[in-house]
Amino acid sequence: MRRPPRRGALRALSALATLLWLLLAGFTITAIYFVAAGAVWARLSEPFFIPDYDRGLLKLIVGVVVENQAVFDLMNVGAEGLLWDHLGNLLYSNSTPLYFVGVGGKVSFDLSFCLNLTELALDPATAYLMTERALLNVSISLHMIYAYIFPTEANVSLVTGWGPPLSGLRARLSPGPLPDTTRVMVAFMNSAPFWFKGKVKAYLYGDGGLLASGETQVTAHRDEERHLSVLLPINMDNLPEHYRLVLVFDTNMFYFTWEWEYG
Amino acid sequence: MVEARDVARRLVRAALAAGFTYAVTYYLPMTFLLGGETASLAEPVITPFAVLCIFFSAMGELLKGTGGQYVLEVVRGFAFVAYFSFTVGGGELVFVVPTDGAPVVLAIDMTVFFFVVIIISLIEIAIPLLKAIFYFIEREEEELEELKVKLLRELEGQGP
Repeated sequence: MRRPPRRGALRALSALATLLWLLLAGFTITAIYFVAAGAVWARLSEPFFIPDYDRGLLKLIVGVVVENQAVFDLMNVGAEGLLWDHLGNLLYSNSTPLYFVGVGGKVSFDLSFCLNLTELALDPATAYLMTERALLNVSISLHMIYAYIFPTEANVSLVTGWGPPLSGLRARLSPGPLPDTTRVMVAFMNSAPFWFKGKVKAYLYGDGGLLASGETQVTAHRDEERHLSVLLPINMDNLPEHYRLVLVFDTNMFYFTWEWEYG
Repeated sequence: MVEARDVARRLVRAALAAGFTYAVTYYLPMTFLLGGETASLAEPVITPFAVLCIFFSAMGELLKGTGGQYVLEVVRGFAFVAYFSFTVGGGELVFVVPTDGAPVVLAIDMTVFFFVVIIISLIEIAIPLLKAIFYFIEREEEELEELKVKLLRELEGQGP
């Protein structure tokens, strides 16, 4: 029985297929292992506002950090974002440049949304946003090519509201009109194109917990500078060495917490 | 008696192949490579893959050396192509990853991976097809050889 030369070609083809399967399996298992072991991770910050109300702009920023401790590079790392109101009006969209994150590398970048409040106020579809506390939906898509053959996209949706339009916000404590009272003097300017009304609550915390709290009503028109005082039922001389003042602005347009430590 | 022994040997080899394949394709990845959340996310993908691997490795041992082996190899190639088609859906694997904040929807584009899998599967499908073609060519060649020898003998028998 002679052995035809075709069998050699078949064996070579079988060996090639087996080799390719092993390479693919090894490559895929390694890629999955490093992801499962947490060697590749990305983190998005909560959206935070940088108001520039003087220019009628509100910048909303989401920080992104991507770290790669795996054995494959991350390519085309970037983020895209869409900002919607709760009625489905697209307010802004933006994307970041693309980054390369090599093995052992780390990259951090910001995805920012720059809202022109004047334009929003003039647009009939979005003008209502200037009269109520907005619910803004932020859709963020973080994309990258992992291990050369796995384009990956992570999508997350967050809900946020207007940032505080409080230019030059400052607060200080002074003795109250009665012996056992302390006055919290609060000053700011409403730099938003909208007016707002609501409550300003003040909380004073010591090491042992809440020391005193009080609240007052506030209304602030556009470009109006306000000076408020909130009375706290505590003698200023009895304040501990270290204490913390927390101001909460609970208004019809935004909710904002401001904190300051003394001592 | 010899046939029964052969069948028993094939069954034992099939059982061993199935056990080994189970360990390599399911037990080891689920135990050591993946854990907790990742294992539960990967299980719907890994389980059918392991079932296919176990089935074809066992059947391969049972049908080894028979004509059915070629058929099985072709079916295996198409089965893996079908498996990857169904697994990756529209070319995308989608997971919902719970986090402390909003849930994250993770989508992995498997198009390139799937393309590589199809290329390798096509090579694997081509091998048994070529084997079958070569088998029939060899048989024809052998028959031609026999005819040739027979003809030469007849010619030699007739003499000058």
